[in-house]
Amino acid sequence: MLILVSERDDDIQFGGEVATAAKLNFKHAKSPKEAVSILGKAKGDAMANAMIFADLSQSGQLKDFQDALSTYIGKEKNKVSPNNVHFIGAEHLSEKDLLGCFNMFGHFIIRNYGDPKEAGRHYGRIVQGYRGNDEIKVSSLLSDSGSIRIIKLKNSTEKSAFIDQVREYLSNETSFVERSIFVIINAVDELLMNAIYDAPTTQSGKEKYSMTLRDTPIDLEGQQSVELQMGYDGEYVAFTVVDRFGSVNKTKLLSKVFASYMEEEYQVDLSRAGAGLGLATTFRTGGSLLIYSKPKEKTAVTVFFKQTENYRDFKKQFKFISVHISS
Amino acid sequence: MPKASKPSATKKAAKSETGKSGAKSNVAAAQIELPSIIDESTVFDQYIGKPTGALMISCKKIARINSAGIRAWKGCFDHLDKNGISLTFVDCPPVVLQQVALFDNFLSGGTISSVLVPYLCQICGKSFEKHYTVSELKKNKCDFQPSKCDKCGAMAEFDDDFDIYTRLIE
Repeated sequence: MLILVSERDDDIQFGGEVATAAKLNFKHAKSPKEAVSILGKAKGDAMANAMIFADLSQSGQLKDFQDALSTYIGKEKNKVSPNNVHFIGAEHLSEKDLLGCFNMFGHFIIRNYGDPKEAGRHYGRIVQGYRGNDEIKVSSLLSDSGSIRIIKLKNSTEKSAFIDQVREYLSNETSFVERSIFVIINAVDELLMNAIYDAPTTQSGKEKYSMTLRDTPIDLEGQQSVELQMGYDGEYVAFTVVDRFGSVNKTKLLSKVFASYMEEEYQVDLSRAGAGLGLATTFRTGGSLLIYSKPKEKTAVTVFFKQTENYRDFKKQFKFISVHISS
Repeated sequence: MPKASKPSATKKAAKSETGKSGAKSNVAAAQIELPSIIDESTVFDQYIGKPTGALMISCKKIARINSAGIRAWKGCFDHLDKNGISLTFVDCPPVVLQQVALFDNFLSGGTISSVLVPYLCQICGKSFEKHYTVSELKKNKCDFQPSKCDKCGAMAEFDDDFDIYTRLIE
């Protein structure tokens, strides 16, 4: 079941298509209370697996939603997982606006749908692709016609050559304009850097390479292995980078992605070798992110880009960030 | 993938169009050119050396900047700014302007003197850039008129987000 809490026509079109693509029953609620009432009538798995999509772009809506849901959660503890709660908001979301939402929501959808139905089909396919799956594969996130390649890195020094391969792949096999290609390869670069240098943790959970310069060669064998999957279905290109640590901290990650570097100047943190900007710049330059993590086992981070005829449309494309933490 | 070019060995004396906050115009500046990729392997000292007084930085080759590159960039130019070096950035491509729009004080107190504005021909797919000084942008209020494609002769359109240019003239 998918419950949409919104009175906006574009959200209703979007939510309806998501439900169809993800093979979920669509329910429309005009208020958080109504959504909770629908949820309360569901039984067993239908209740536990229900997805809630909520428009919270007006002030006060978030509080209503929190109140309604916390009352409900109070009665039915652990029945609503953040993995199933999707925030729909305006273009300019900031950490300040969202800080209270990070624990309640797993998914943040920016309402620049373009065509709400098309955006809904894309998002629904992704929801269907990871729902109930323990293994994220690019093939399950793209339409059936997608072609997939898988590459494994043996050492961090191979990164540049990989990026060259990705650029070649995009130039030869897709119709992205050159500037979009540079944005995409930058995103892949960031995902690889994160998997190589930021994901590895010690047994006690401490970051292994927090002080290691990002051009230091690292062997990528065993648990440190990093895999890149790339797929293209004629409409979207997707890249998934998989590491074997499962060390994602959702709140920290979302704080960085939604931080405003215009309000507070970015200062180089000399106590860390990383910049802490990779996913933030990827998201801001147009990419959608799906982060799927199984703690202490693996993390798969996927970035999606829609193919457009020009860069202007590319930059304004529909986007979202989803963080799904598996139990 | 364009590889990082070797640092320009010669540092030419040049006149900056606008100095820091407009206060240091006509300062003779050392001129350097940054490589096509700014990332974890970029050693800024190789390109910049030890300037005194003023530095004019050509950004025309820059095609992409990753997060490690942003960190290295800020580390380098903040340090120069603290040491009283006046920074002027010339021929800034969209990728640099994008960082300026995302990060407060990305230019470490420096100024942009000129930009490369992207165009795309929807007929033949050719992309190219047109050079504008910031003074020209102010004069034409960032009204980027279609420009003739030299490959097919059709009129190519401005292909970017206006905001990153208009903020330069505000």
